[in-house]
Amino acid sequence: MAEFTKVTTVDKLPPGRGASVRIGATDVAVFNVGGVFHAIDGVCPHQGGLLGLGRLSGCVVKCPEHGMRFDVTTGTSPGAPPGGGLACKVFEVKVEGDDVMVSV
Amino acid sequence: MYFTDDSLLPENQDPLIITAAPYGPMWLPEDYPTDIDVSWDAQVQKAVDCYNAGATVLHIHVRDPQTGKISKNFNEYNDQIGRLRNAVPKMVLQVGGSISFAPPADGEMAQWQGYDTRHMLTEINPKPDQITVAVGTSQWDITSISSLQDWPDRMANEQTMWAFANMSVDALPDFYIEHLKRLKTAGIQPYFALGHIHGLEIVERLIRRGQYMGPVNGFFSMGGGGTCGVNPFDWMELVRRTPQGSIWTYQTMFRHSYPLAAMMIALGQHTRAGIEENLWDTTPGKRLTSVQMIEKHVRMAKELGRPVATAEEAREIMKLGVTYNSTEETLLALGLPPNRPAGERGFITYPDTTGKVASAYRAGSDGHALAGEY
Ligand code: FES
Repeated sequence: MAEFTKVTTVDKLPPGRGASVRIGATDVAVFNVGGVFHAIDGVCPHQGGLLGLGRLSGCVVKCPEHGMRFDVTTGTSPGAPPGGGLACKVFEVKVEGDDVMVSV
Repeated sequence: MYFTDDSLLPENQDPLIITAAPYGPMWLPEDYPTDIDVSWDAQVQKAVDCYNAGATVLHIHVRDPQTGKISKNFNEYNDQIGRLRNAVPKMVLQVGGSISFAPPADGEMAQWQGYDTRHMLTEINPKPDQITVAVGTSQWDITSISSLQDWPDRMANEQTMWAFANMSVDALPDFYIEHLKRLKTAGIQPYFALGHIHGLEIVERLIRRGQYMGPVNGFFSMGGGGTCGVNPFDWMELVRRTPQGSIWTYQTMFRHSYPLAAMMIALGQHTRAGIEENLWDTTPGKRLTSVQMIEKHVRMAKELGRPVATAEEAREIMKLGVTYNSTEETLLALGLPPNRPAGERGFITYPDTTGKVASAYRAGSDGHALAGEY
């Protein structure tokens, strides 16, 4: 069974915001998209920018370094042709009471 | 730069400063297993090898040996700069500025605001000599001058190209004005990272408005759509517009790196070599290591009779450790005209060179003395 780690609380991450968290050796980017929480690999595949610190527009986060964009619900690049390629891993998220929890 | 009749002769040119960029933050070890170093020792040894090959500036990114990816750990940067300082004490250590640092402990949430994590670079201890500072937000489509064959297999697909094509570097005044202040306080020289001529214009305005005082060194990172491309006349324009007292390195992507390096070596400018922006030799499909690329630049310089800088010369040329304390001093050192005194008309020069000193002879409408007056 997936092991979940508490990364933040609902009140600390309001809608439209993201955060960078570390679970063990894994950097995770966690976002609140209109009240629904999502988590993806926190390290940008371009040059390692922290995606959790990027600006969120709707469900798209923009890496704070060179602006690569990812849909935080799928981990893929918005508008990209179908077929895989560069994407961020998506992690499972659950909310228990006030706690936002992620499984990596 | 203003070129006089003797500027292209190698004995009159500054020795060539080659920046090594061997750490390739965009790549994973599998993309070039024989030249992407993962262990601390290997990353340090690569600096030594680049120095021995002729590079005197080291452009640094730190790779986490545990993950094989670029490190997000502030302490690892401190430790690695320390190791590099010991291994290549004379080399100019230049840290790449596009880094954000991860929260320090498990489960701890980082919600830094704005540019806080980038500013942390100015607190690295031991201090690097330079930190690159991007100036001017710009589109940066790094696929624009490449084809799929230029990319490692892992990335050579349309989806990855799409993601790379839609990048834009964030470098607004909100970032660079504060960052320059902090660098000055820390005694670290900024190394301006510009994409095009408009970045250079911003740097000049920063100086004219008193927001930056000090030597001006930097690099033009070209070849991403939205930045300067690979039209040599645009490269020439950059060379023409850079101030006389500034020092610039020119860098582009993949195999365009070699014609650019050849031009810049000939023109008395400076070059960068390494797998950060190119994986290839001049022949399509033939890999070259960072050290081999540096050796190639050294050979090109040798053919043109241009000496390659020693580390001491590189430090002197880039005025490391020098700082200026006024706008006037900075403009004068750069060979830029002073700011316009209130009410002064015409193109501004320094007072003793204005040519406006009253002539002993009457002048005609073209400015020449009238016949019979001398
Ligand atoms: S590090 Fe994310 S876009 Fe460059």
